[in-house]
This record gives sequence, C-alpha cells and structure tokens, in this order.
Amino acid sequence: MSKKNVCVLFGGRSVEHEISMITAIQYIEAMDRELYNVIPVYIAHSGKWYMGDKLLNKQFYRKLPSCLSEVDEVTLLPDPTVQGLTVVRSAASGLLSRFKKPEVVPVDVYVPAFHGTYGEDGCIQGLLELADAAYASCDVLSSAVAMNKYICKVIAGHHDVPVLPSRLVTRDEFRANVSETRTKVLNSEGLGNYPLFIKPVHLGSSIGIGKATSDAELDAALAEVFKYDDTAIVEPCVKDIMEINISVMDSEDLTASVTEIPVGTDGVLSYEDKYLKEGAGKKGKLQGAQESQGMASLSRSIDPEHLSDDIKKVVTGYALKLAKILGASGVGRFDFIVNNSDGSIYFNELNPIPGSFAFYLWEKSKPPVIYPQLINKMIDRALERKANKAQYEKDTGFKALFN
Amino acid sequence: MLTAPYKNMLGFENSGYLNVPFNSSFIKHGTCGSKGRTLELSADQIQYKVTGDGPPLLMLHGWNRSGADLRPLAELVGSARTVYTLDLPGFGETPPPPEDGWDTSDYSELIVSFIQSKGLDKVSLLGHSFGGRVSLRIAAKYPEIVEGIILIDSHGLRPMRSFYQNMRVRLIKLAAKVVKTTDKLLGTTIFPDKFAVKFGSADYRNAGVLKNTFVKTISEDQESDVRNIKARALLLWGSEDRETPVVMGEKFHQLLSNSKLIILPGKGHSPFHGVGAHLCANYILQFLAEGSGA
Repeated sequence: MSKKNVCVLFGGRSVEHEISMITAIQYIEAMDRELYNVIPVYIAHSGKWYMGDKLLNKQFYRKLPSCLSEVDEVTLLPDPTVQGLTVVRSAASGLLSRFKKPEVVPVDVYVPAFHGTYGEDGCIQGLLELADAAYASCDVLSSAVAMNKYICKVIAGHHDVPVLPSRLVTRDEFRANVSETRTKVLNSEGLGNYPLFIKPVHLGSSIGIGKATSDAELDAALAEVFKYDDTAIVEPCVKDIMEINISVMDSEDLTASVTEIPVGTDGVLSYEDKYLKEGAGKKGKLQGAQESQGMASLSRSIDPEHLSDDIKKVVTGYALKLAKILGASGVGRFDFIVNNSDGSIYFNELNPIPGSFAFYLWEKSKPPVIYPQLINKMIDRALERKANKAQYEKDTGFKALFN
Repeated sequence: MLTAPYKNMLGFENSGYLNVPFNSSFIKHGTCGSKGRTLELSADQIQYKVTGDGPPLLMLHGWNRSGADLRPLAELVGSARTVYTLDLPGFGETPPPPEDGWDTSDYSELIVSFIQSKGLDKVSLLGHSFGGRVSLRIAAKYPEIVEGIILIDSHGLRPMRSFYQNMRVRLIKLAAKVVKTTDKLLGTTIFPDKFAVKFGSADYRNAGVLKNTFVKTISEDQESDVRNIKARALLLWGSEDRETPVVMGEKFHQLLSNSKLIILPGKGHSPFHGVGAHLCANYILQFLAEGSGA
C-alpha cells in the first residue's frame, strides 16, 4: 500500500496562532510515517501559506519573517481538478525555476490544526469544500455554529440540552441607548442579579471577557467587548462551578472519550478562574500541549474517580447527542459546567478543533485509543466522507439554459 | 576533533560522552566477570513498577535513567501487556552493583532471576540504549524465556568509526596506558585528576560508584550475541540519534535473523519521550499483536 500524502495545516490568522503550531507539530510527531507522507503547511500571520519540513522545527520560527524565504510558498486553489497544493514560489530560486510551470504537490487528506478565527470557524473548511478535498474536521456549518457561542447554545437548548440563560447585546443597540440596553439585559430571564459575565460572542480567547457586579461595571464590560466584536453575550456568573470536558470522535460511529476535569482541584474553579486568569481562554489548549511535553501535568484530572458515574453518563449522552445534531466530524471537545451548589449540568461550548486534538482523553478511554490510532481514524474518516460525497448524483447539465 | 555526528557514537546518553572507550583492562578490578561468580544483589532488591494487563513485558532503561523514564510508554503498552518497568542496579531505587563493577552479563543474570522470582515463563523484552545491551544478553543466553525483543536506540555494537577517529581512539588508549603506568610507578594521580577529566566523558566522571561498571559495559561488543538471537525483534530508531546513530540500527537489522527496523523521523536517542511515547507504543503494540496472532 502506498503512503498517503497528508497535509497538516496550522498557524493562521488567529490570536491562537501559536497554540495551533504546538497542536500541529505534536500531531505530526505522532503520525505513523510508515503510512503517511507528511506535508506541513504553515499559514503565517500575513495569511500566506508556506510548505516544507523546516516548518516542523520550532527553532525555525525564531527568524520570522525572513526565514520564510527558505520554504516554498504554496496555495490551495478552489478548483476541484487540482486538489493538491500549488507552489506559488519555490524556495529553490534558480534561474530556471522562474520559467517552470507551477508545480502541484498532490495531497490525499488535509488536517486543519487551527484554533480560532479562519481555521476553526468554517472559513478554511469552505475552501477545502470548494477544492473538493478530503479533510479531517467539522464541516463548514458545524464549525461556524460551534464558534458562535450564542447560536450553539440556542441549538443545544432547543434539543433539550441545558444551557445557562444568556442574552445577546449588539454594538448598535448599546451605542443607541446604554441605560435601556442595560435594563433589557437585567430584565432577561436568569440575568436579574449581579454578578454577570460578559463575553464576545465569537469564541477563541480570553480577550474582551469581563465580569460585572454593578451597573457601571456592566456598561464598562460591554464597551470593552465592543472593541473586539460587534456582539456580546451576557450570562449569569455561577459562583461554584466545576468544568467537565469530553471528546467526541466521528469514526465509524460517533464515539465519546472519557471525561476530564481540567483543574484538578474541582469545586473551587470559578468562572473567574476559567476566563479571567492570564491566558485562561487558551487553557484547554495549552494544557493539552504541556501535558504531552511533560506528561507530568497535574492540572487536569482525567476520568476522575470522584466524579459520579451519573454525571459522566449525562455528560456523555449530551455530548453524543449534540455531536449528532451539529453534524460534528473529526475530533471535537465538548465543554460542560456543573453548578456545584445544586448539581445541575450545562453545556458550555464545542471546540471543533481542540488543543492537542484532546488525545490525552483518548489514551485513557475504554478501549484506549493512542494518538497514532486516533490520527489514523481521523484520516480514514476524512477519506470516507469524501468518497460518500462523491456518490451523490450530480445533475449539472445545461438543460435550463438551452430549453 | 571529532566531527559532531561521531562525537557521541562511542558512548551512552550524555553528550560528549567519552572520547575514548576505556576498556576494562585499564582498571584493576581483580577477579570479576560473570562466570561462576555469585551476584551480590538479589532479585528481590530490584525495584520495579507494574502496569497493564496481559502477557509479561519487561522494560529496561538506559544509562543514568531509571524505570520512570519508560513509564509513560509502559502505560500505553499496558493495554496489551503486563509491563514491568525495572530500576536496573545502580539506578533509581535499586542498589548499585559492588564497587568492582558489573558487566552486562552480570546484569542479565540478575534480571533472569528476577523473571524467575516472579514466576514468569516467557517474557517480551524492551531495552533502551544500555538496557538494550542487557536485553541482548538475555535473549542470546536464555532464548527459551524470551518471546520477542524490542530495542530502542540500543547499544551493543561497536561504533563504526572513520580511519581518523580510529587512530585518535587508539592514540588516546595508548596514552592512557602510559599515564596509568606512570601513576603506578611514581605514585602520582595524573590519570584521575587530569587525563580522565580531559578525555573521559561526563558519564564516566559522574559514574560515581558505577565507574567500574561503566568501564566494563561500555566497551562490550555484543555482535556474536546478536547473531545468535532467533527471537522476533523490533528495532525503533530515532533518525536524529547522535549516540547510537541509525547506521547502528541498520547493522542490528542486518545481524538479527528476524527483525523489523522502523526509523522515527525527527526523533533523537530517546524517541519515546513526550508524544513519541504514543508513536513507539503504536509500533510496539502492532509488533506484539503480530507475534501473538501468528
């Protein structure tokens, strides 16, 4: 069997650019090279695409951006007849290379390893769809839905998966009348009492997130969000919460991993801890990365023994249900919160491309799935989805035009 | 000066390990050697941890490491095997060999009695670097108890040196002899104070109570052992390993009658560190499954 060409895409125009690099390099390190030829593609902050093995060495990036001239610049054309990567500028800059026809590097499967904007929200998935390429992640719609906190919660709530009450505030509404907006928020169901949490509706980082304990703070927090986003989401601030995460993989069937409590000292995690500590927004992602590097990270508790089977069961059920409704594919991570004072469980968010692809949850699952096996499943599934899509009937004649 | 890729070919884990392989004749160690000698350590002094479920697999670590080094890998392989991660004598929690030192045969005898003391009939062996030497000894001498052998960036074969490197090593060896004789005749301490500091490796200097063991084991050439091994073997090698370079892995592959060599791109002398544990476990689990399926 010949090796498959697998292109791992990372970096991207997102504040989580670096975290994506960690996820991708780690992913590539775990790939079975007996099965795959790896094609690393780094999307720089500028949005340009670069290809080459040098991109696998972290030290390479110390000399950004000048070092990028040492690797090929490539692009993916939205042209189904190409599907591979088109070399825009070859790193080998000989006299003859100028006259060469643009080379195309064939790719069997793309693995988007981005976090945040443009890579995790359906944008790159749209390009991959246009190119008719096989790719291992959620599709356009499920990515886009997952990355809009409000819409994701509305869908979950509609399907009887509990979510915390919330209200959207648009920048226009806020600018038109601050006090009226505030009154509307405070009159919304479940948002009558401070403290409240205010976040940009588009996920990705801790930027812009604030807590309000008074009218003045609410106004200030909303103003802060509107520096970064045109829509804010306001939620009640549950004091004593526990976060529970679980990964779902779209393999032959939807399969759920074991659960984890990201901070070992459960019960004392506040919303503030979750969102307001330095770099907290990237927490899940960073920790995953550190875990694999040190393997001694105690900042997460995987398949916690003290977590009741009932809660694990409920969370697993919700995650699988949501993955089906949202059409999640690849390996995603569903985050839940538990209100410790009354034991109620709420769905919080879906990370379509979680940090480290949540591999640390799969190695502890029953049966265990070690990272190279997880990668094989992702790649096989991507090829299968493409093959399934190719079976749809295409009615693309010119009957209407010439009738 | 040795060129970078060869600098560490002679030795164990530490960089710049040993510019000359002091062989055992350099140091007076009386009547040691494995033959007919009682080992001062007993199997029940070996500290170890067990994880997983299934037929037994023993993991033997590299020089200056301990069982803990291989434990993340053991956890992952534990889905198919009962994995014993041992602290070899002198490392981790296990007491050191006597001061006059052990060779790898001594180590292997103790591991075999450990295997017997646990009531295990047949085991798979995994050896990294120095642990590979010990695994090779066991597999060669006790084929009846070895199911299969997994070597990760293992020592055991003589490093392949260029003419220039060979000359340099010979010269240093000769100089060592001269210096030692001088020391003996004049009662000076030039060898430990000056010579070893300049030409010995960090591992040699830091070996402490294991100095003689280090000297005895480092220069062993186990090629004849390797030729005799009939057990299935899996060789995992980091492509960037500077200590036991890929050429050594290839040589093992050539000498072993039934082996599979997998080169791990971008990995160094310890390819099972970090996420590499998953990749190594992947190949190990496949190798073990093929063995039990056949």
